[in-house]
Amino acid sequence: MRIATTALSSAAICVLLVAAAAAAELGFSRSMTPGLIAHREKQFGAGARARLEGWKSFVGQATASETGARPAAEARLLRAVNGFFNRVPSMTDLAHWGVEDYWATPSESLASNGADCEDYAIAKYFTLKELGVPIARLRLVYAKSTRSREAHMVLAYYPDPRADPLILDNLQGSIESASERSDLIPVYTFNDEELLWPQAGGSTVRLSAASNRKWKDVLDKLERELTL
Amino acid sequence: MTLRRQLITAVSLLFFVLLAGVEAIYLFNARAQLQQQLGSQAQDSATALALRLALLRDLSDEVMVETIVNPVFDRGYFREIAVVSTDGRAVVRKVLRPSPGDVPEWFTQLLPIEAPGAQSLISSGWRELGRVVVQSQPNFAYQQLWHAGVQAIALLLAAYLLAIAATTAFLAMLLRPLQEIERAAMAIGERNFRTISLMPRARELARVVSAMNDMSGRIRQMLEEESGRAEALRREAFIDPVTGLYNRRGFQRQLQSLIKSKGDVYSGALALVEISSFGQFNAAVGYKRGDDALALLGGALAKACEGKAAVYGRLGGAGYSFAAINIGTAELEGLVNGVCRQFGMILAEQGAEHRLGYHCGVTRCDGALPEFSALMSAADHAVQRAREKGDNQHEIEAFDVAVAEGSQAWRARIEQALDERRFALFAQNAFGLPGRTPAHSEVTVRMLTSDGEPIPAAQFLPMAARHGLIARLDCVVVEKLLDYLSKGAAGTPVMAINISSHTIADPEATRRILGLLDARKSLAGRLVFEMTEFGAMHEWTLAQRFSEEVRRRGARFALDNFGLLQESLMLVNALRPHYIKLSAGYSRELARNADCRFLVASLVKIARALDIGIFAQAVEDESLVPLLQELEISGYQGYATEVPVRIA
Repeated sequence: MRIATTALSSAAICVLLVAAAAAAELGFSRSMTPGLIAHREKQFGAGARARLEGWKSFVGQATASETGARPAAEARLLRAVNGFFNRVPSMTDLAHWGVEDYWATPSESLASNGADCEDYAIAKYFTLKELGVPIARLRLVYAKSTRSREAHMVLAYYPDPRADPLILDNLQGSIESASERSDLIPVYTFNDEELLWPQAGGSTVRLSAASNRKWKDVLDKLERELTL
Repeated sequence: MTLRRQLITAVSLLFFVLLAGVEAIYLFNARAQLQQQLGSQAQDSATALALRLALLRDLSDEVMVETIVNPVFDRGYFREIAVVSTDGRAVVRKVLRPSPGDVPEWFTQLLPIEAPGAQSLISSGWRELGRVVVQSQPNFAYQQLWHAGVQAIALLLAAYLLAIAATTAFLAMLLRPLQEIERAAMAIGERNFRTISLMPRARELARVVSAMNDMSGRIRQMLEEESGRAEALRREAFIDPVTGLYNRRGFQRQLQSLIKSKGDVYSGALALVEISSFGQFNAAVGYKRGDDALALLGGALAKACEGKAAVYGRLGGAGYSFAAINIGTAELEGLVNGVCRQFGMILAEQGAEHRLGYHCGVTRCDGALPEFSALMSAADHAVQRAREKGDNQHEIEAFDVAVAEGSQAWRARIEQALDERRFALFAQNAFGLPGRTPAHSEVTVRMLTSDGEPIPAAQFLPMAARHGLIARLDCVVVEKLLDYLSKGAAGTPVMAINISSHTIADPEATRRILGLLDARKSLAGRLVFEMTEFGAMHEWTLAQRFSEEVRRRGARFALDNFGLLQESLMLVNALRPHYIKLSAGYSRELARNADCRFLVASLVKIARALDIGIFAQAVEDESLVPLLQELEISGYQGYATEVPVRIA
């Protein structure tokens, strides 16, 4: 009986999935307040201001130069953003922040001039979002690197949901497709897309994807940055 | 609202708000915690399902997908679990119909739990297969919240009741002295200067108590001193120092008071006892022994008269006198024989060799007592007859045979008048001092003959009393007066009306009079019920009850014909009259007698402390008024001002 009813429901309903805009403007270069820049300067020294201003002007230029067909334009953006952030020196969280695992906001990574794998992925994610790339195409991916034999995180770009994604990794300069990255084993993916999920009564409920504690911490930190 | 009730209400309100706040905070916290729990539960399940479904590499096998979903869904904690492929098609969508729980709907509306949902992406390798959507079922959370809420309310309610009980008990203990203080304050308001024995622990209350006790004590002491002074003055003026009985003046005063108490007295007898040859006896044995003999005789007279005669005294020299009222012939004979036997024995012992003897003459009246002088001369006449009979003889004579013989005729006439309500009311104003403004109006009744001729009260009242008709008469008078007042006699002052002791001794008549007051509540405040001092003294307990009953109905109570009998001050204390009317004798004697003035001044002081007015009556002469004012008497009444006028 139970099997029958559930089979019926699964066959009959085709769910309309709508990605809602996640918390707007959080983590964008244009959301940085003068107070935040001053604060970062005090925290990390004179170079911080230049690097943060550099990020802002990079996003400005990338937006201005962006023309042409969408897939090609997005590919150019991916390369630019990947190149921009990969210039930040890589450091372990323990050496950089004094804790085992620390997820930094883009302004923290740039100002402190040091990042770990998830910090690159986060900074690239927010910058691409700011540049107009739909987040439904972006995934943060927990993966295992067979080369370094450690837990790793990369940003994946899916031109369409079933496609072979492009991998933005801090360990190598060029962007390659997932099929070319035999050194990475993906385990779990997420983004901060919100779903409008249809309910029985015709209404919809907003389902958050920000399930990860660390991710939530990053969003909280970004909220606080707005008030500095 | 008493202080206690106000405090308890305030404390109760405070507790209630506090407990309601605690309950609200508890419920909101519990809800937030439950919501968080539901959210993390949904997220955990979504993540676990996504990881498990990723192993399928492909979501095309719907049965397999459903089989994986079922164990999680069947736990019953989720309203919906769906697996959606990347193109937005629901591969599996399982929805649990919400079961009607035992939680009332208003509760779910009051405290809605937003069941959070969660989603997780399913990826096989780099390939995304779809996502898992999980929505929590809030029913369990509602149930948990409801039961926890009910339990918390029960607990808080118990705490609340306990707190109220404790507060009530505590306040009762704390405020007990206050109730006592209130009672004392009310008693003092009624001029009963009592003290508070309980000493409260709270300093403020203790001060109030000691101040009240102090004040009460002072006034009581002043009253006692003044009462003592009045008593001393009374003794000096009216008591014979040798025998302790009334002297001539005292005897006369008391007898006159009785003569005036027409509604209370319907018959009486006056006896004079004369000791013969007492002058020789005195000369022979000396004044000391002579006085001893007089004292012995006085003691014997007091003993024989106890409870039988109304007044007795030594008239001076070796003359004694006693008067009894409302007494039958046989009773009178017994009383006279008793006195004579005692006197005979004492005289025989004291001075047989001196030929001491007595002559006793008695005059007996049926109906109204005549004036004092007429009574005395009639008694003198009887003594003369006794003397003619020889030593140690007595003689009882009727004062006026005609009156006694007409007694039955009177009865018929009064009864007929009562049946036909042939009575007229007259009023005479009493004036307040200073200022001579009308204080109240004394109402007197006169019977009308069938021709409409008025018969004075002095003539028919004793007859009415004698034949037991006075209670009926008083009822008729009260009724007529209330009728008169209800007919819009708005400007008239307060009306004073005389009530006989026979009336208040008649339960039926008392009920009738109080019933008349109940029926005319608005008029009760304009009535004063007066009783004579003698009547009230005679029926002390009933008078006290009657005075309380009329006061409760808004009317007032007063004492008339006040002659300051023995224990009169105690009577005043017990009855708390609105005012006292001094007997006519005081008005006559005030101008002549200094000790009488002292006595009245003392009475005025006592009365003022007790908030009682003092009126003089039978003021026949304007020249007396300045003296009354000087003595600070409240007011007066008499022919000096105006004669009674007919009102109804």
